[in-house]
Amino acid sequence: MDARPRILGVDDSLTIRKALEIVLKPAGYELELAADGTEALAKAKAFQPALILLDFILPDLRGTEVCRQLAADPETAHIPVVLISAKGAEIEQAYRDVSNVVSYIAKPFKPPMLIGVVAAVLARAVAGELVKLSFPEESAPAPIGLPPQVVPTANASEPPSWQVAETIAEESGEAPAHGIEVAVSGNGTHAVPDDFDDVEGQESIESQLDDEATATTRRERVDWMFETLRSGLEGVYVEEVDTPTGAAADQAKTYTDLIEQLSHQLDEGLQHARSAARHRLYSDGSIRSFDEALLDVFRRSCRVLFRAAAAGTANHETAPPTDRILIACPRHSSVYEQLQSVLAAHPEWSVVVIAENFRQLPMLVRLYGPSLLVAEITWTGALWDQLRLIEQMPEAQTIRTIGIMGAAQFALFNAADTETRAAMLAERGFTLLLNSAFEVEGVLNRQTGPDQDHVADAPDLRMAV
Amino acid sequence: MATTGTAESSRSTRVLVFAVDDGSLCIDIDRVDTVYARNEARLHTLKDADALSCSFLIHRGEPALVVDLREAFGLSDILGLTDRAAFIVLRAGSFPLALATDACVGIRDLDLRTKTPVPSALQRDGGVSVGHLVELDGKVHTLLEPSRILSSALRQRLNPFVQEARAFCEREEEIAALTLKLKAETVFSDLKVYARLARRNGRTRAATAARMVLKAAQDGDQHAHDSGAVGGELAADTLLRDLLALSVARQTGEVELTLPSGDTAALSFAAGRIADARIAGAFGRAAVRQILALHNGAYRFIASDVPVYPPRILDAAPWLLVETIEQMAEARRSRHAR
Repeated sequence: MDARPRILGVDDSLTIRKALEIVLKPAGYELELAADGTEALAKAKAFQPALILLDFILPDLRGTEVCRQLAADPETAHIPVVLISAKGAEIEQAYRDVSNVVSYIAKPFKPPMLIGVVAAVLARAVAGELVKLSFPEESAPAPIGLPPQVVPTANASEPPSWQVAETIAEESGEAPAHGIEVAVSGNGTHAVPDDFDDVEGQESIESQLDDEATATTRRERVDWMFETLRSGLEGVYVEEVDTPTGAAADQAKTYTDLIEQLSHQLDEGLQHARSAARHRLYSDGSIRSFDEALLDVFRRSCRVLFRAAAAGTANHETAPPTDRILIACPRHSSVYEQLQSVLAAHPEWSVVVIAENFRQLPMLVRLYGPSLLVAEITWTGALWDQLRLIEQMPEAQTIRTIGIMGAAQFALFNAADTETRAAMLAERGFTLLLNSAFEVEGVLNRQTGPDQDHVADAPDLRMAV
Repeated sequence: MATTGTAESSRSTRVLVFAVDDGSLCIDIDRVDTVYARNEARLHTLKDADALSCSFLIHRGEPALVVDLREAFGLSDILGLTDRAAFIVLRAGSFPLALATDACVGIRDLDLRTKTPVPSALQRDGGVSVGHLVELDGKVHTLLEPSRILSSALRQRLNPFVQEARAFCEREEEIAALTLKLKAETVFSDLKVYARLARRNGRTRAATAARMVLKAAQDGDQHAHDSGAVGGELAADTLLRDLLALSVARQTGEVELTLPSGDTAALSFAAGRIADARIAGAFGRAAVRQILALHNGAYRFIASDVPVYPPRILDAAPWLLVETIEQMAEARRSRHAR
């Protein structure tokens, strides 16, 4: 019997489900996932999780309805629920109204936040304190987000120069203030109150998390952030942590500007890390925790690296036009719906999907000029005939063709030995064979090296982060 | 804000949507002259010295070269060329094109303010795209720019065909004008020109028929000098000659035919014109055709002062004979083809 705490994650967004998987599994939790309310209710009974992380808006039921049904069923009434949603006000109300909702997390959430809330709820459940995590009644239980910016009180006419808090403290002979340490400008002190967190109403959950966070070493946190950065660069997590405005702003910048800003941010981050200050005033006027600063560096790194990947070489000043993806998949195929959901999650991709009338494929290849062709392989039929024709076109030299098939077919294919598989792929002109449309996302999001069935490198794609 | 209005309206356009190889394409309706169904369009084929062939159809007196998008997009080597159901005639630079299509779907409004057209990867000289890919009715359509459908290489290759096709059209116009003249009054010199033009324009059967009539007319002229009597056996193959001789002599009366079965047939002349014919319940042109197809029997001309009235046939006799012979040849070809 697996003694790991069981968690049921419910969200219709594939990205969020992936994020839950990436964050919770390595943290030692046994995770089961559901994509809608009905599935969640069924899995809650069967899986008997210790905690349910529930998206507030589901395709079939609202989160509150799922909670009520869980509470009404003796088999699931005891399971605490943590709501996840971008709708702060609504989940706040649900948190107050529905008995088995013990906490909530606002999207976009940070992995430490998620782990912190999960750990706190489970700890209380184990201790028999299955009650809501308390929020001060007078202050709204604000979802965890960026710390509010504090406007410097220094003379605005003079440009501030920033120093590390430690240095200032040393120079002034004073120990850093308890609780909140901030960097100060060279020409004045910033009025950041000691009870900064409380004032901003993030007392309950965040303070618990902060407590937990302080229990871990800075090195571990850096490692953890690095791991997040790595997984983010694989395209799984970045969508949730990035901000649309930030992405749009960076999109407009040249490659050189981006690199320059990233370098500047890294420099500031390094100073922050050395200072050991929890919060620091940054040159853009914001006060950020170390985590926030790293997260920002992570975001910008993603943008820079995706831009570089798109350019194919760092010598490019600007990204080339968006690479084009052509997907040929019969509507009745088992992977068609999967592909649709992946595409819905990536409106930035330049994609043409053909679900019927495959005779048009050669002409479309010539007119559309895709760099990547994803074809559902049924091994026979109209689509296959057209793929054979495309192989004869000069474009075939530059198009990477990825085959995709349902799990059952893939199992048969996978049963063959490596040589046979390679021969089958080569014969059919495919460089890679996938058994799930979701893997397409992964392939498009990263530059991978050759793997078992991998013949060529992944394509260069511009990912608008 | 008239400028804004103009700019906005220019981004919305009406397009003719059509299908080629199951793919959806469209073209600005203002650039489309007409659409011909395949069975309505008369295609002419030209061959050059290298045995390359090109088809065209005549649209409003001008040749429109038939272009298949497979060929225009350089896919004919891989996909081959295929028969299409319709031709869209459109203005595409210096000469009109007849774009071969599988089907015309209809005319739709394309509001480019709400769509994001993607330039096609296939480009022409100067890096301009042959069109844009745009979403319409939930499907990807390629909005073609007519003047960029042909590459400069293909256009260059087609240029001699265009010249030849234009010459063909001029000859067709001459033939049409001559036909009107020949119908009204056949002058053998005009018929000679007609035969030459018809031959050059590939109307082999018409040219042959005209030459047969000319030859028969020549023989008839000679025969008229030899003897004044008109009559003989059908097996001797002299009927055509004698009919033309009667026509030239502007005779009125009836050529009476006696068939081996004992049945009779007749061709009525009115001042040198074949005004009517009858044979076994058939009259007019149909009867002329049947009579000329006979191989056995005898005929003789009986002059009369009273022409048949009303005449079923109004064309001049030589032209009637040319047309009839051509139709018979066509019928024979069809039978052989079957």
